[in-house]
Formats: sequence, C-alpha cells, structure tokens
Amino acid sequence: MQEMVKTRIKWILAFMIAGFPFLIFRFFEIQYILHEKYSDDAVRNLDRYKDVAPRRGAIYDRNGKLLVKTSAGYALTGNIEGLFLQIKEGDETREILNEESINSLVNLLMEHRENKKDKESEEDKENEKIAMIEEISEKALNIYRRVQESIETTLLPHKELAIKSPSKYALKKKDAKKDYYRRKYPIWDNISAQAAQAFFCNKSYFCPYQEDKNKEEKYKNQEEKDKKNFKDIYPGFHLEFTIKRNYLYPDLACHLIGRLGLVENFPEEIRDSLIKNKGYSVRDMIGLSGIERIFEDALRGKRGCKVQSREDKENSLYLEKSIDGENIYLSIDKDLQEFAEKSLDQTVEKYKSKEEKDKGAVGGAAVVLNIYTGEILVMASSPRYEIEKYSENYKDLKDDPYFPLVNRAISFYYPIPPGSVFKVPVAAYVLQNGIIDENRCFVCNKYMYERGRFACTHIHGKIDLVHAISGSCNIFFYHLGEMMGPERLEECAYLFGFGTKSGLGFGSEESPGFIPTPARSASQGEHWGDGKSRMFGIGQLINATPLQVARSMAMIANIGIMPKLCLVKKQNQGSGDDQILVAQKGIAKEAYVANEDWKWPISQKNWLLIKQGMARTTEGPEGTAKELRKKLKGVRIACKTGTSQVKGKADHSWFAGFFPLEEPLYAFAVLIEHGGYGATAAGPVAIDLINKIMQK
Amino acid sequence: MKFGYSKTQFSWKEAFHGMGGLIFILSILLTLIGLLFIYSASPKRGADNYMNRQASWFLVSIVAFLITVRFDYLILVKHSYAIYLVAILSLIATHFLGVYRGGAKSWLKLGPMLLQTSEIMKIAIIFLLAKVLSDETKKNGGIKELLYPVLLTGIPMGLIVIQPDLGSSIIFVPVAFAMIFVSGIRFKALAIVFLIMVNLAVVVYFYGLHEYQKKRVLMFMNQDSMTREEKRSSGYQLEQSKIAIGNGGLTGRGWGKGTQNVYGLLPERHTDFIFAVIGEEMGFVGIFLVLLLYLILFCSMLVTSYTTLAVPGQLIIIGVMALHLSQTIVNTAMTVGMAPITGLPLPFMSYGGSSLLFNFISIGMVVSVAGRKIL
Repeated sequence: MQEMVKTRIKWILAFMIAGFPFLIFRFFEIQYILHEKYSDDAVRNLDRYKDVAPRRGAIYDRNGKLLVKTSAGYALTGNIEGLFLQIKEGDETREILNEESINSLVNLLMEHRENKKDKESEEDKENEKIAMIEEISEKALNIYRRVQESIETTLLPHKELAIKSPSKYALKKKDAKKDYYRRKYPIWDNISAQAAQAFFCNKSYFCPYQEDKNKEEKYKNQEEKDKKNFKDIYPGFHLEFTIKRNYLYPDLACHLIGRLGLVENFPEEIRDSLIKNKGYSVRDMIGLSGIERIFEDALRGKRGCKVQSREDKENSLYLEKSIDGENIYLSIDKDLQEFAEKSLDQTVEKYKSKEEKDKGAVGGAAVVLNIYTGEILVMASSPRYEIEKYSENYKDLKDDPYFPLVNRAISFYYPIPPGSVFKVPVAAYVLQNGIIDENRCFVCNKYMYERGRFACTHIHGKIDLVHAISGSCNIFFYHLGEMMGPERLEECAYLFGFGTKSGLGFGSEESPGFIPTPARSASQGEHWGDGKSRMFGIGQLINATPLQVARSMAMIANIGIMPKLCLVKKQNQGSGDDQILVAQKGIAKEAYVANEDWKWPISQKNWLLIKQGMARTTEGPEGTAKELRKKLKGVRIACKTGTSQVKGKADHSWFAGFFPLEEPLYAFAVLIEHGGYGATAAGPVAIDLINKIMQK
Repeated sequence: MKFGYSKTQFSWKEAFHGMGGLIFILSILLTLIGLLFIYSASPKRGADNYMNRQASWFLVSIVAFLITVRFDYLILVKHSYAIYLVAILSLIATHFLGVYRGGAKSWLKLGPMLLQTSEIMKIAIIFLLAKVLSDETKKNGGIKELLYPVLLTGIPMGLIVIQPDLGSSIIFVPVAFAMIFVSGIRFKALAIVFLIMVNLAVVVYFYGLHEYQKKRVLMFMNQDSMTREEKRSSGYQLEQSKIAIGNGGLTGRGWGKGTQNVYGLLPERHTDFIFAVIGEEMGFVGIFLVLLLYLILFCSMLVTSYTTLAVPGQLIIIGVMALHLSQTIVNTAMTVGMAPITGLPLPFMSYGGSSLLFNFISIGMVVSVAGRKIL
C-alpha cells in the first residue's frame, strides 16, 4: 500500500505543478495584457456623480418684503431603536427613554450654541440645559407615540391573524416594529454648523471638517473615542443635511402660500411618474398647495449634476449647473394682509358664542383687489395654522371645529349665500336691461303680504332703487326677483362672476359655487315658484365666496369690465433682471383668457345711480351702515352690507364694496361666518382695512 | 494495534528539521503577509483595526499549533470515531443553539468566543478517513469499498449545507477525493466517481442552490459579456475584484495606495478578497511570489507525506494539503473570474480568527506527523 500511496502522491505533485502556470497566466493576462483597460476602469471608478440641488425660489410680497425663503442647514433626526432602551422583565420588554444619549447630545449642543452669551451664570446654563433635555425628551416621546400608532395602523389589515394564528401575527408585528423603529423622525432643526461638525466628528471615524494642523490632536482624541466605541455616543440620533423652507411670518397667508411635501410621501404611482416624467428625486420637496403648488415649476429650479473624484474631494467638475428657482413677488401686501388677518381674528373671537359652540362666529375672510389690474392685495382667512407645524399638528387641525385648514376666502367648504350684497348686481342688471327705471317705486310695509317669510327689516314705505340699495330693502328686491324670473336672475349671477372659478388655480377651490335654476330645483323635487325668484333676488339661494363677491364689486366699480384676477406681480430669477410677468405663468390660462372679453358695459347714468345707492349705505340717513361713517378717515366709500340667513344659526355677516368713491381703485369683501348683522361684524373690519389702505 | 506500529517517538528536532520546519515557516510567512494587507484593507486605521485583532488570534494559533504538534496522531487516529461523533454532535448542536453570522447559523458560542463547528469537522473527517482508508484488510481498490468513506463524508456535508454554508460543505469533496485517490483507488473506479460527481453537480445546481448562488455561477460563465446593470448588482464583486487586480499592473500601486482598496470599492476586502488587495497593491510580482510560497508549501507537504512511513500519517498530510490547496485555488481563482464566487477564505491570509486557528492546528498535525518516528 505504501508504494501505491507514493505513486499517487507523485501524480498529485505532477498535477499541481502542471496547473500552477495556468493560474499564473490568468493573473499575467489581467495585470499585464489588460492592465490599461482595468486601470482606466479603476480611475473611472473613483468618480462619483452627485446631484446638485437647486435653491427653491423665495416668495416676496408686492413691496419686496421677504415672506418665505429657502435655507440650507442641519437637522437632527432620531429613531426609536436607539432612543429607547429595551429592558427585559420576565416575558415583557419595557421600553424606556435613553437618557444618557439625550444628555450627551444636549451637552454637545450646549457647547456649540449659536447665541452664547458672554457672561452667563452657571445656574442659567443649568436651567437652559434642563429645558433642552425636557424638550428633546418630549419630542422623543411624541415620536414614540406616533410610531406606535403607525405600527397599529399597519397591523390593522392583519387583525384577523391575531385570533387565527398568534405566532404569525407576532411575526408581522415584529417586522412592522423593526421597520418603524429604524425610521428617522425630525427632532431638532437649526443645528449650528459648529455643533453639526462636532456631532459628525464624534460619530464617524473620518472627520473631513477638521484641519490638518490639528491632526495630532485629532488622533489623540480619536484614540480615546475608539475606546468608547464611538458609534454609541449618541445612539438613536442622526444628522441630516436639509434644505429648509423658512416662513418669516409663521401663519401669514398660510392658505395662500401653501405647503411643501416630500416626493417620497406620495403614493407609489404618482411618485414614480414624478420621478420619471418631471425629474424629481425621492427626497425633493414639492409644492402641495397654494402658491407653492401653482408656481411649482418656476419655484423649483433645475437640478444640476457634478462629478467628484474620491481622491480629490475639493474640486469637482460640473456636468450641468443647477439653476435656482425663480423668486415670486406676490400681489399681496404683507402689512395689509397681516392687519386684515389680525382684525379678522379679533372680530371672530368677539362674535364667538360662549355658550353654544356652533351658533356663534366660526371664521372669517377678507379680500381686497385692484379693480383695474385684478391684483389681489389681501386675501385673508381666519382661523389659520402655522405652515411649518402643519404635519406635526395635522390631527388637531383636521378635527378643529373651526376648520383652520380651509381658505375661507376662496373655497366652498360650506355653502354661504351672499345675501344682500347680491342686490347690487341685481340692481345693475335691472337698470341696464330697462326692467325698471330709477323712478319706479315699490311700497315697503315690512311684510310683502301682511306677514310671512317675505319680510323686510324696516318699514321703508314708498321706496326707489337708490334708497332700496342703501336701506337694503328686501321688499323692493323681492319684487325685482319676481319681475326678472329665474332665467334672467341666472344670467345676472353668471354675468357678475358668481358660479365661476377665480382662475387662480387653487386646488382648494374645487367648486365654482352654486347657482339655483328651475332645472336644478326640479331635479331635487322642488317646484320653482315666484317665492324662489324672490329669495334669489335678495341673494339667498345662491352661494358665493368673498373673492367672488369682491370680484363682482370690482366689475361694478370698473363700469362693467371684469378684472383678470392675479396673485403674482412678477417673477424673477435669483438676483437677475426683473421679469415683469403679470399672471401669465402658472395661472390657469383658460380662465384668464375667458376673462379677456368679460365685459358688460354699464351706462354712465346707471352706474352713477348704483354708486349713489352704495354711497348712501354709509352716508344716507336710511343707510344700513350709517354708524360706520364716522369711523372712515377722510375717504368716501361705496358699499353694501349683507346679512344672509342660515337656519338655526346666527346670520352670516357680509360687507362689500369699492373705494374711493370718486375714483374707484379697490374693491373689497369681508365675511364673518355666523357673525350676525352685516354692518356690526364685518363692517368694522372692512372700514379699518380701508383706513389702513388709504393711509399708505 | 492494527497498523502494526506499536510505539512512536516525537522529537522537536525531527519535527522542525527538514520539511516540517519549512512548512511551519511558510505558514508564518503567509500569515504575516496576510496581516500586512489586512491592515491596509482595514476601514479603521486607529487602534481598533482588524490587524490587531488578527495578530492576537495569530498568537493564540501558534500556541494551538505547539499543542497539536505534541499529540500522538496515531492515538488520535485510533479514537477518530469518537472525535467524529463529537464533531457531528457539535454540528447538530449548532443547528439548534448556533449563532447567525453573515446569514449562516454556523457558529457556536463558547464563553466569550465563537467557534465555527465546521472547522472541527474538517479535522475530524481527515482523521477518520485516514483510519478508514488505511485499513489494509479491505483493500482491492474497487468502487464498492468507496461507499463507506463517501457516506462518512456525506453526513457532515449535509449538516453544513443546511446551515446554510455551501462553501464550507463543498470543501469536503476535494479533501475526501484526494485521500481516496492517494489510498489507491483504481482509475476505472475514479472515472465512475468523476461521472457521478458531474451528475451530482448538475442536480445541486438546479435544486440545491439559492437564486443568488445561481446568479454567481451564471455571472462566472458569462463574465465577459456582463451588462452595465449586472456589473452593479450580481457581478459587482467580480467586476471590482478584476479592476483591482488589473489596476495593480506588474509592480502594483504600493502598499496602502490601491484606490479600489482605500476607497472601499472592493467588497469584503479584508476577508474573501484579500488576494485582490495584494494584486492591486503589489502587482503581478507580489501575486507571483505569494502563489509561489503556496506552491512550495504544498509541495513540501507532499514531500513530507512521501517520506512518512505510516500510511495514516501520509493520508493526514494529504487531507490537510487538499484542504488548503482547494481553498487557495478556489479563492485566488475567483478573484480573476476563473472560479465562481464562494465565501471561502484564503488560508492563512484572510481575516478571521477561527479560520486561522484551525489552519495552524492542521499545520500542527502535519508537523506532528513529520516529527514522529515509528519505533
């Protein structure tokens, strides 16, 4: 046997030595013959392609005051996995906050604060530190709660499993937990650059920020950190480079400016099409509502691309420069908007019913626009929310009984009849069409028929059109409604822009509003009688938004020419030349074009009559708003009050018109929902706003 | 005693004089070169780098080597069934109590350290086959007597495959094959075995492999026509390894200067692809020298085996040599696309304490055989 073994060993030796050159030759082939190809590949391998994100355009008001800007910064995020320690107690695991991690983080943040005071007592420092720890702890607990809720929601479809096979359910739960515990949630914004550097250096081995002269020191520190296993200094915390949208006035024109969201939060289909067709990346911000959405294409700019070598991180080659987004100059006047919002808030607060929540005022809106250019100077809605904290407070905002998420100036979330302010278009229509003339009188005895629902607020006696406008005589307009009939009433409403979208392109403006017609009544099983025409005549059956009312006022002020509404004065690119652009980009074009021929000339004589009626609202002894006259500071206005009735609740308070009387320039409309009488709730808000505008 | 060798005598002088010493020195040399490049491939350059850890394992390994050398291998061969049984039991224990590392449940936790039980099995199977194959009473070199050793090898292979650690399992085939071959199987029987193995390989490919493993084999077959997408996904390791080695050229980029290595483009660079790091930083010259060292190591093992008088001892050396040779060939060949990518480490050089420890224990077995005279 020994001989056999020896022979076979020789065989193996022979095979091995014979095979060796094959292996060697393969290396020779790759390292010598193909060397150039592979070293080229190796050099190319060092290139890293990086997207260069553009800066999103800023938003200014009409006078160039900055409202919203984009800034780059660092933000801390955290995940539950590291922020909470899992402690096993028998079969159950308890999860408690990792205080050590928070402590060390706060120490670091304290060390690198931005606004460090020169002299600071130890006590102050200690207090600040404690406050910071508390804040972060609270945020961590909030995240914990949110994560638990999310896990519950993910598990909902699998609830059956819990009974059928608990082990499978437990597995599903474990998976969901694992997934959500690793997700990062925002914790702390506005980390100073210094703190970010320190955080980064502590957490990772290579520290690109520190300079070479500190090298020795760095290595010394490094060794100490190595001992501590640096990964675990701040478990659960992560640093992210973020591009943040800064809102200089947290809730100013929040509905108008709108929100931003991440592309990754969209449903998969939309997300994929955004990425594929429009070149977004998953982490990009995209406008979700308001100006941010309407002007998304202009604001976002264009993504660039650069190549950077791993060997030389300083220099990079730009394949394509990024183009920053265009800045948007709104037609909104920041001071006026702020003023309007504040006075709306105060008024709504004042007319809120203390006892019964749903009976008093719930909200309000104000719109002011230029009757010639259609530029909207004020578009205020109350109550509002802080854009930045939208997602944080989403649940509360959604369930708020006062609907702060609704832009009341523009949306029909709740049908509101314009009431008596609709009498102005009706008056213009009947005069211009010759249905009656200025001398035609009706008699008002408070009731149209002794008693019943066709009633007036006062006994006006024998009254003509001008006084019927200023005194807001219902009886007079009941007669007009009856005389006009449904077809002409409908035509009148459409002529003055009711039942038509603003054309500004807001997503929240889904419906153009409701205009009653006999056909619609029939479809609801109701008969159209003279009663309906009468109610229509005083603006009861129809719905309108403050913007529509303001627009109809502008049309009357402009002697029958409907202005083209717009929200943007101009757009410009970064710091480049101003590019005057009045509502041409972004704004829904069809509506804009439709406005082009929106003319329905009113004769000078008729116009003066209507103006006279509206002026007498404050100036005449029968005027519904005569108490407000003394509040006006040196300006005469044409206006109309409106008190539209709602079953079982307080009336809606309207106040709309235009000013200055002599040479009209602005039209306005103010609404206080369930605010009561037109001249008492909405009136003062409008008058204050007018005074403010005229002072400017 | 069955073998007819009643007593053996060990002398250190005998062990290290001649081939035994050469084998030991070559192993140490290869390990030191390995340490050098493990340091170069360490992502961390501080105190806690991979080299320091590997170096401490190296010291442990030397101690283990010295202990192994003192064992009488014939006594171990005598009790090889018991050793085999212990190893099988430890594999079964791993199946139930084991720890996951890198997706496979192949580690047993013993106090502070982790033990890869398939390594014990490799040693055990060499001893057992040495006993079974050197039994001259049943010798005629026919195919039938192969059944028993094949069965003995198949059981642990099956246990390791389900861990799942295909690489460690497959390595039993060349070991058993070499030992059976050397023990005097006839060439006709060898041809039959070869045919069976080819068929078995086909069956394993279609039914026994995971999708990713199949992809690796396919990638290996079509490596020159990889699409760009494949170069980024399933073919990434192979592509990066070839670039690293090709980038080295004749003389290499210099120690610690290989871009593929330094910028972390080469995956698994301190473990499975340490040879590619050497290729990039030392070039063809370095590759040639290292492969030459391996060749000399294996040749000297063969020579030792040739000159040993006891058949079991000869078979042990052949088994150990086949173990290292096959791992070396598979590992080095895979870096240049001559073999499909498996998770097999390069003996002595790849980072991994347990593996280094058992490498030196096996070398200890070889030197032990070399240093023992039969009286």
